Amino acid sequence: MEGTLKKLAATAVVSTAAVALLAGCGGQTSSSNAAGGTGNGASNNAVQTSSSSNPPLTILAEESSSWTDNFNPYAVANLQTPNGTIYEPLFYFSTTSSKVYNLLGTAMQWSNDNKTLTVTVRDGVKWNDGQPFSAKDVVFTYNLLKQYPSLDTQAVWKALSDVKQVGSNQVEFDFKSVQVPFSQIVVGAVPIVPEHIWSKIQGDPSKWTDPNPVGTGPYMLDKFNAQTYTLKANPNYWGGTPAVPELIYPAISSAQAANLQLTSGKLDWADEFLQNIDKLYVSKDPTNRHYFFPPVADLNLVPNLKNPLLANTAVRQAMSLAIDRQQIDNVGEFGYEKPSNPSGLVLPNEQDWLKPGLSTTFTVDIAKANALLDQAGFKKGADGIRVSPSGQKLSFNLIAPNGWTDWNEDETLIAQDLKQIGIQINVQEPQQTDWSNALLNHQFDLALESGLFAGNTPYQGFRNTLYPGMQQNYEQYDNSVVAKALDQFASTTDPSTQKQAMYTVEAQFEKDLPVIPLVYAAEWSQYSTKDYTGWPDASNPYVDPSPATAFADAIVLMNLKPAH
Amino acid sequence: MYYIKKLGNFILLVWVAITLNFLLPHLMPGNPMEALVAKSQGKIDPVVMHALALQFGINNKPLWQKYIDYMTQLLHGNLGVSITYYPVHVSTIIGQSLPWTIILVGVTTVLAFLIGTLIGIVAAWRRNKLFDSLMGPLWMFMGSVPQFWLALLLLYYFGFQLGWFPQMHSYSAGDAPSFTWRFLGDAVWHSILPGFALLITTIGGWMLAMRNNMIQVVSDDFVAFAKARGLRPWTVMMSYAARNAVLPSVTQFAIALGYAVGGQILIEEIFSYPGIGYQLSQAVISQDYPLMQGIFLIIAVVMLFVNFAVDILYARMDPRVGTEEASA
Repeated sequence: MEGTLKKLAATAVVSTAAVALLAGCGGQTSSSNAAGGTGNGASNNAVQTSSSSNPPLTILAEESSSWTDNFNPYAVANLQTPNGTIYEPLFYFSTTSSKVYNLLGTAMQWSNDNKTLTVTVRDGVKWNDGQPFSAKDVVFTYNLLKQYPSLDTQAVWKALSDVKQVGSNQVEFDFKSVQVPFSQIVVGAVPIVPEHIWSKIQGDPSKWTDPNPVGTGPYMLDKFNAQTYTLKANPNYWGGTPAVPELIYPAISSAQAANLQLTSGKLDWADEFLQNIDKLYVSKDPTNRHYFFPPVADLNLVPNLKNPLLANTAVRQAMSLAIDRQQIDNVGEFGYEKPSNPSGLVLPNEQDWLKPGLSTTFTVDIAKANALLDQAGFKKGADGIRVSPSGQKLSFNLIAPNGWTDWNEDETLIAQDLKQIGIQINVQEPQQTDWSNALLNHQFDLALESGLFAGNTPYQGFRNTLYPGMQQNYEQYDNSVVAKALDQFASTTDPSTQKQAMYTVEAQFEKDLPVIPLVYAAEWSQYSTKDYTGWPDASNPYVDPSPATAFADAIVLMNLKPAH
Repeated sequence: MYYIKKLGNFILLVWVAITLNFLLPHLMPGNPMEALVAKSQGKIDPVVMHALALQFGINNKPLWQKYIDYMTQLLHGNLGVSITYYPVHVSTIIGQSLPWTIILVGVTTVLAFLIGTLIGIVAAWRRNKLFDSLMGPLWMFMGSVPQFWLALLLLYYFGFQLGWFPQMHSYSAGDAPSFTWRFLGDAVWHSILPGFALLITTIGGWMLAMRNNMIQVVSDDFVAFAKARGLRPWTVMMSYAARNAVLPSVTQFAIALGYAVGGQILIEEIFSYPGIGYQLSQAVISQDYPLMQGIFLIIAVVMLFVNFAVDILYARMDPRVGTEEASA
């Protein structure tokens, strides 16, 4: 079952993730095309002549029993997301690297004390129906989101006050307050739609199924039926004709069927969860079959800090010292998810932000954990369980959703580890919705939860988990030093100020352990180099490798080159 | 009179079913937005919940208000918009998956009934002979094999190892449904493995039921009398014994046909067969109330209708039923 569950049902908003490389976005972007080799690279143009004879690519991004004729880019639950292949945003901010990709935008410029962002829009772009694209479409799109909040899935109008056209090819975004990192969501996660089509929709456009999508992306809808739909290359794409002439998306309803298709070589690109992948998948064709599971977030043991026992830092430190993270990786997560580090960063992706001198590994030290608890006055009772000075037992409920078998295994391992230091863990496996309700309403002792797949700076991840009042601050951490540092980060575009702010957060995180990082949650991706090369891998993780990641999928596709 | 009473019953039961159908999903904890965000494991930011609430029309109206809205919608033939496949209409999704389920599960149910009943008739007629002692244990064994396990085995050997049959879907990629021999042949080709898994695990039940009924009837006087009249054994077996013994099986069969509409979740999932069972399980996981209600409604109404039809049919097949009711 993990396959189905780990796979992320709704992908349209994946890009939610992105946030904040404010570090001089403008400067960074201009170099990124060269670095990533994306878009209008010469390599793509070179294969243009032969591209129609290249083989198609069969892709599995989501398990589904059948497709529906729905390509609305704002439908959050849309499994056959057209985001990336058909619809494009202005920019894309990679999660696995610090790269920023220029899509419909070519430059960003901050002004007005970092409250105004001016985006230059790409020239010479055409919609796939032949109509020219312009800054007017961009302004139309954002105002459409303002008019219909049901389309505003990223809540960009919470931060924006106005979006207007400046000159012939620029769009100005006015923010209500200084929120530099959030601009990555505003310009990096909103698909731009054509005014000449979307202005004619009657009523709420979120209720429209958009059966014949008109976008600017490298692909356009070719054939559709409930079992398979195909996309063909957009001959007018501004970035040159993609090397892969046709994309095939079969509907596959179960993990078993998907794994069988994958192992029999019928899928070229997938994001399946597969146990024993080296033996079951790679070994059948080691030269062509590969996988890349980059870390994208922390899987955390979240303590409820309103629980007086868990509010005690010594208890959390002792727990962290007693948990064998390597074993969680090996036994619970099949060796796919490496142990986390104490800074709260996702490494190596966020290596640049790591405070020099900070430790990057957790060590297991039962003796030290016991000493910490002894010092704090927790004495072992007759049953081997420690008791607080006021007589409360160190006994907690730990929740993770029923059926997420890897997490359920992790729960058991944690319970065994903590038993050694006299902390009793009652493993509980409620239904997914009950678990999520418990987190949102803060009615739990301990819970397993992975952070948001967040951005190409650590800002959004930290803000989500640590900033007071954030929905994902399940543990209810409230520390003015951290909050202030995060505010400081958000208000500047200066890289060194941002780094200092991030160092403060990391140091405080390590000291307080507001949540206990366990292992890195990974993104799944399997791919075949039989027909095409140029996939993101550990040596060049230029963009998120999963075919289910909205917008990033098109960047991968534009980087592919024929293998022969 | 008998028919009017039955019709009244039918209408009342449909109303009860619709009401239950409305209430049950709303009694589940949580809501579709939370299910979606939780299922995404960190890929969906909770900030989307506001936009989702607007899209899905989730609000805090009192339950009775929602009930009235739902009934009004239904009277207009509107099943609402699915949440899993937002913004596609529930009727579109059901229309897309139900035909496949009806064809696959319907046809195998009919076949299983016919084959099973026939084997049951012959086995009872030739009780304790070789045929009977072979067929009984064989189909009992087949009936006790877990369906999903058999399906996986079939898929692995005939689909994956030998490659004789397609591994998934109800027709070949790149094709579109049409009433041509080529397409129909292709569709049959795709349904062989899932159909086979369904068929051989269900024949046993029909056989056993028919054999037991038949054994009782065979020992009745009128059968002995028919034999004594020198009628051909085949005529006695089919027209005298089997015709009377088949009545309970017909009721069973009607119920089985009703169930067929609900689909076969495991079989559909294993063969990626685009049927209604998988849609139902997805709807439950994602708390997609409109889709769930739509599918339950179809199942409930078909079930009730089949029972109604059987009641009517029974009066025809067994005249005692109608007259007793009428005189009571």
